[in-house]
Amino acid sequence: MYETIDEPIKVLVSFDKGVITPHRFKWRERHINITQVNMINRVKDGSVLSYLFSVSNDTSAYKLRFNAATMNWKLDQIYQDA
Amino acid sequence: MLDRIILHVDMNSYFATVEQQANPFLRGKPIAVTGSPYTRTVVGASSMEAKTFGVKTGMSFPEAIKLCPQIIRVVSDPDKYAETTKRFIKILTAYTPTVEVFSIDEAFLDITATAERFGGAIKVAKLIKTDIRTWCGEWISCSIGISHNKLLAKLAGELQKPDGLTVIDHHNISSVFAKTAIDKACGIGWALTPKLNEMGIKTLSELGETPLSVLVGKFGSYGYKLHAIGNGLDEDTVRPYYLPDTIKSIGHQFTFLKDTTEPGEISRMLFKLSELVATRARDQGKLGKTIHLWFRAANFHNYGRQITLPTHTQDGLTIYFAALRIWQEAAFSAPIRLVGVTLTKLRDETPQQLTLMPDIRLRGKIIEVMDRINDKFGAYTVQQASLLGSVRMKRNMNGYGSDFKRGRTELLEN
Repeated sequence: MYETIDEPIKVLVSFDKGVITPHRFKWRERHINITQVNMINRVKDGSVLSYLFSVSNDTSAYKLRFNAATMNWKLDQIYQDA
Repeated sequence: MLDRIILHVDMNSYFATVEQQANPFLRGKPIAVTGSPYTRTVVGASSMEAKTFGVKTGMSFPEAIKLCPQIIRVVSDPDKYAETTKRFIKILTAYTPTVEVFSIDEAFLDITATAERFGGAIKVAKLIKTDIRTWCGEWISCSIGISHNKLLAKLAGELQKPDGLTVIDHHNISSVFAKTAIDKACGIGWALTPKLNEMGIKTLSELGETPLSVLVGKFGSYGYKLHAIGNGLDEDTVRPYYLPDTIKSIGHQFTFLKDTTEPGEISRMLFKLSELVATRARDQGKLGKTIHLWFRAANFHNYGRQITLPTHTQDGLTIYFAALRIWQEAAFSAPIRLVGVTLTKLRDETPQQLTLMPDIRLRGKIIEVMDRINDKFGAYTVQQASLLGSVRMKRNMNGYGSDFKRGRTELLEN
């Protein structure tokens, strides 16, 4: 089940050939590794563009949001297998 | 020998598959994509695994749970589907510019002029499947039908799901029609099927063998269409995505959390829906003349009325007053569960003669400024005071992709 979080996070990413790939993020003092980027999609709220990264590791799936205007990252949602 | 080469590409269990692509923990499991859990919505899409339990689009979520207690509810994310559609349409245009976006998850391609360049029609279909897995995601699949017209290409695509690749040509059409039920063909829906079955017509071959006079006698002018379907005939061309859309109506609907008779709640929702309709009309450069109000009673009976205004409009307040008048004249006292407002008789926006009435000019200016603010800072940044605190409805994409802001060409924008 998805749980809405909406909290700021720190993210380690790489940039290559126009693609941003998140590898790891820090949330509530925990370091979480990302093993798979499953989907990237863009969302516009007014003129503000955000990139949504649907990522996962062996235990959970996460939705990370990168706000291109403020350059901030947020953890939008967590999905943990029941 | 095929004269034209038409491909029909149909994404399998689209919204559900996109959700499974985004979240690997949902893969291989029965899921239902629905609206917000805080509203009464229906199943918008179900995964292939849920379909094996009988879960279908349009049923309520409690009905889906009865059929499949372990079903997982996922809230619809239209931005995700729009992005995936943009990617898949872009893939298709690499093989021909003649791509018709038939709905958000379906497209026709005319590859008559380009197929040879890629090694033939079947090779093109296989390349498209590979490209979709590469660029949209490994979990996302499509069924492709190949034939010499749109009717048969779509039918071919229907015959093998998921991940099918089927060809209907002059050699196998008779055998395919002999074993294919009429409701597999586009143009024969749930209302027509039982009527044709009553006439002893169950397969497409039987439809083709039925004299034209019998079909016209029973179904009027639609009998010609049925006769053509039964004989695998379709002259319709693939309409490229870059041609202007022909939008016939703009509408929005809302299902109340609980059935209601409360006049304030209903009229507020009418205003909200009217504003949404008007905003979309302005986004798409359209004005409409006829306002249609429809509502569904708690017993699932539908009621609808319409009013045609003296002039075209794209103003939410004007649409609301018309919708409210219809509602008041209907004098409906039983509880209702759903209400919808639609604007029809559309025409394109053109530079209009300035009205001499200052209050109308001022209102037009206010609407223009409100649109600009909401475009820049996001929906509902400014809205009519009476709608403050009302439900923040997110515009769900319709199945035909026609409500992209500037029509279907927006699908190809970065």
